[in-house]
Amino acid sequence: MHSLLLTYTVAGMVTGCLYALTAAGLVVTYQTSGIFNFAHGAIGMFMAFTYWQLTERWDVPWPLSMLLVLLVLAPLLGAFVERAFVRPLYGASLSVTLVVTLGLLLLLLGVADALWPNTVTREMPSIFPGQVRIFGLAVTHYEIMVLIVSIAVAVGLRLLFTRTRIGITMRAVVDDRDLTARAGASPIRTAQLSWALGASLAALAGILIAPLQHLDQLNLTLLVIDGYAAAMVGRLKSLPLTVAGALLLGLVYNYSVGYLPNDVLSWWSPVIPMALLFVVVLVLKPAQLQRARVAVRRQRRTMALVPSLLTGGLFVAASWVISGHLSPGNVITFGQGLVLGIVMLSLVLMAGYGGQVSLAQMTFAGFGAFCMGKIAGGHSIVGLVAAMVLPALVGGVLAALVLRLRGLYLALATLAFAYAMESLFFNHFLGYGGILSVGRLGLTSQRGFLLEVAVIFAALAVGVLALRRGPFGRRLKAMNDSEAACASLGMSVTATKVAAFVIGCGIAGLGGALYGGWQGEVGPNDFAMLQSLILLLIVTLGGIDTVTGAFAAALFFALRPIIESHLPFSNGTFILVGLGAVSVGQNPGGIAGQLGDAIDRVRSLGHERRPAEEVRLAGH
Amino acid sequence: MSGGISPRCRVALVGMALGSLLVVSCGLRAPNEEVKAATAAAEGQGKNALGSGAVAAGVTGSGDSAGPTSAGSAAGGAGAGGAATPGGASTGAAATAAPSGGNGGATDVGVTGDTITVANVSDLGGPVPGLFSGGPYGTQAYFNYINSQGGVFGRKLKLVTADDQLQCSSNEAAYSNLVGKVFAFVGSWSLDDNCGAQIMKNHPDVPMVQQALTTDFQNLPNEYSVAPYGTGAPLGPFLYFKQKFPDDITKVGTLVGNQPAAVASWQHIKAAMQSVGYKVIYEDIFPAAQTNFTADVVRMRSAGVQMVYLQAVNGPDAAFFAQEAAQQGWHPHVWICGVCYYGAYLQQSGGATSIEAHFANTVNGMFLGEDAATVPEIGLFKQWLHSAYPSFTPDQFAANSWANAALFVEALKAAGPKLTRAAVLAALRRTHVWNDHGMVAPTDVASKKPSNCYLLLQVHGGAWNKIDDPPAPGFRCDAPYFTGG
Repeated sequence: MHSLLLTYTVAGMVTGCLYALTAAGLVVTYQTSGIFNFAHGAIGMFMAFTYWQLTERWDVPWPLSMLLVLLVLAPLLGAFVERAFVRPLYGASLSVTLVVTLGLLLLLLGVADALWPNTVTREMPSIFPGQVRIFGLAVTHYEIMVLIVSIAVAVGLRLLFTRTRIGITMRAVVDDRDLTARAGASPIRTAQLSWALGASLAALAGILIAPLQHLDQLNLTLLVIDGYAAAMVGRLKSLPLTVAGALLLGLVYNYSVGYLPNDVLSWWSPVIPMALLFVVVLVLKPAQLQRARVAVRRQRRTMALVPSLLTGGLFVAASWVISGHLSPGNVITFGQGLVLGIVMLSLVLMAGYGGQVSLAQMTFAGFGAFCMGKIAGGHSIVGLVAAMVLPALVGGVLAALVLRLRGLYLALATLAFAYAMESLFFNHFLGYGGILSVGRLGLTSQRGFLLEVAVIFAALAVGVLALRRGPFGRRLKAMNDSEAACASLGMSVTATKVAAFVIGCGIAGLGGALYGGWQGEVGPNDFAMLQSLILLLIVTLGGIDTVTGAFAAALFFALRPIIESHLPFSNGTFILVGLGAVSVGQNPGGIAGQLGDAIDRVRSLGHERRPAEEVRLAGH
Repeated sequence: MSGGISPRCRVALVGMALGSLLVVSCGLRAPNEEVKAATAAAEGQGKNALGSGAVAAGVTGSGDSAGPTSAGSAAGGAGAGGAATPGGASTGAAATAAPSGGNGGATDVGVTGDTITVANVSDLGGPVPGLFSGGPYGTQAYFNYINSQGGVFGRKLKLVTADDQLQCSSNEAAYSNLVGKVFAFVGSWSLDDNCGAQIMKNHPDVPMVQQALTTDFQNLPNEYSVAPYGTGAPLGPFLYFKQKFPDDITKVGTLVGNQPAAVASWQHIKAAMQSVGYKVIYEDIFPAAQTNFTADVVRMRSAGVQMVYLQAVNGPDAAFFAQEAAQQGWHPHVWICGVCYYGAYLQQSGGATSIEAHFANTVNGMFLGEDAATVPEIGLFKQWLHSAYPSFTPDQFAANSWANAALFVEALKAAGPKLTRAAVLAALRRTHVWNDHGMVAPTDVASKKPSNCYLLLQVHGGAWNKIDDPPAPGFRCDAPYFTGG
């Protein structure tokens, strides 16, 4: 018994060190730039493939390849990323930074696939063969090396940030950029150095982990997600705590596998990292994420009722006319864009207006589809109502649980929720490999249902705009600007936040029911966590703080297959969307924002007045 | 944006695919005249069941096998099928020229006097790039071969490929856009084919010769496949191992990738195993990004697992697990992996000693080439696939699609020069015996029932070898297909 416990402990330590490697780089990047880099794993993946190219294709000796990648190529990539994509993000909102780094993730995935197609099997070079026995467990020399490197990296980084001038400067830049500049340091150079270091750490993790996993683009990219919990234990600033969190995660996982009964293990094992993440963000006191900075943002006019009704009517009419000229296949894609546009509207309300970034909207859409499919025959009004009510209730409960969280912590809590629901709910209730039929209420023909969806989209858009114009919308806006100020003015932030979730998740549920009806069938994979990330990315590309943005995003989604069919390379969507998303850093308002700016410029051509500006506190 | 995106990997998608492939059946009793024709063909004396001059699957009799399936001696037939043909065009894929009176020109949708255009809708891009690239690759490779011979009745085969990017709506849209433009759909592989089924159920006149991965698609009346989708498993391998290792079947351990299709597949396989007395004492549904299987190895060892059975897991994960077990010095009595017959397995599992004596059960011939000497079709497959896609590693998807493409071409020939969709469908409905000259397990295509046939392989000295105990030169079809799960 003791022997087994020790065995699992050693195994847990080895697993934990892998998590520590991935999480440490993430923490370093955050600590030195204030940006949570969702593309951290993708950078590591890209560098792992680069290392493979050097060693296996170009026959560069592995030590030289490793030095080249870690000390030259990865830092160059990091510096380039900072210069090209990250620099405009300082002071930007969470949704923008999140989307830009997600866009970078997709861009790197797309480019990696173009350079190293998955149709060819690749193996990393084998180094340090052999093994030793520790408490009855065979541990390879390679795993011991990973363990030593992980600890050395953690110690080295700790010393860097506490005992060296450059390390202290890196941290100072995040705390107060202007003051750091006045002290003689160059914030820009320091930031570039931070990202260079972060990329180098990502590369180290990717290269070391690849031989223990597969040289697979998606696997390596998303592996870092399991390390989020460890990073959160360290509250994104303490490396020793991050390592401790990583070891804890490794131990919990291995003890679970070692001791839990099979039937419990089958549902618990896949969600361990995310469950830990959820607990950690709820339990631990969030650290001060970054000091608020002043930023200037254009105030956008909200469309009044009559114009919004007219626009909605025009939109419905246009949808009907356009659908009559599309091929049957393109009608399908167009319709899907519209139903997803409804889910995107929920994000406009929650994240765009209220600053409540949710990475679980497709999960709520999934609840809606489930209700519609399961209740009262699969095509009833009762099912449709349930499709709105159940997700709204769940959203309300989630909001109540995560009340004190905001910004990145809130986003990660919703991510953990989405991941957990993938395994615990959809796989179980929709059935593994199962398909749930979802019917249509009302018009059932393809064009008829599309018209119905267009009407619902337009009605919801009008409704969301009405909310925005009303007292609730003003409360949302105020909460987005400053929760502290709202609380001090006597506004109930709790009620506003919960209401935002309830309404937003209800809209997402409705979208999910219509999504199911549009497809006719849904399966567990329809509502996987990654879907929510991509949804957020696309709606931010369109413009997350406007209803027009949701429409633009829906339109982009509908046109995507047509665009892709004309691209000369596969996975062009990833590259396109990635490029678009990283450009959000330059244009946080997205496509709709740029359109709005252009209209404002045209309007101001004959006038002396400048568009209204509003000074607000940025940050989250 | 929808169904089928496995957020992280191709984890057990391959496992599910192979699980589907495992559920093939040797089918029903063939009509006497076809049995005679096939027997004659197997002996190298005549045409196959479709009358195209090639050796067909070896259906030799009606009484040899256990259970309701009558193709029990397919082993003899398939082996003879391979041996009786001298290779090259004599495998029966010889093209046919246009008859003197012409081939009728544009006789149906997607058909002209010079070309037949067909489509392939597969998961090629999206979050798991290249997942089923083997689908269009295998199909195109076969078409290249046929076209090199002149085509079919003077018409060359043209393939249009659509990538549904693991998205339901894209799959639907692809079928919707293409159905009015192409003659048929061939060689597709998509986890979202249930979505395309919504479209194709309105087009029962369009031939589809491709792998179904959902019941919805499989149940379409115009869908045919060399490996019909089923929700069960062939019992033959389990009975074989039960007979050889009777004490170990009550101590089975497995890993299952946390992917819906994989877990569903495992439920069917487990039910089949339990029906013949197996007992699974350890199973772990592991997360997609799992990097370490040490705890599973330790737990299996302490639980007393003596038989490891891996099916609902992807090949590389199975390889890592085997490597880990070897590192920990754990050698269960029996190791069976249904997904491990692929190019990189030996390398990824840590070398030959890690997997010595490991078994595999498969529904494909040994498409990596070990069988090429006795099954010339495999040599053709490798040659033409490499010619079209030099850097592509052959996989079971390409092998399956090659065989489906071959079946389609045989149906084209049987339909005659005045080509119509209806004639091709009629030819497919008459196809009760098909194994693509030893490339795949013999299947009663027309019945659309999964084959009960399989191959057993074992690793010796770092190479896969066909098990010859009892002697079986080809596929074994000695037990029924279990559908009770």
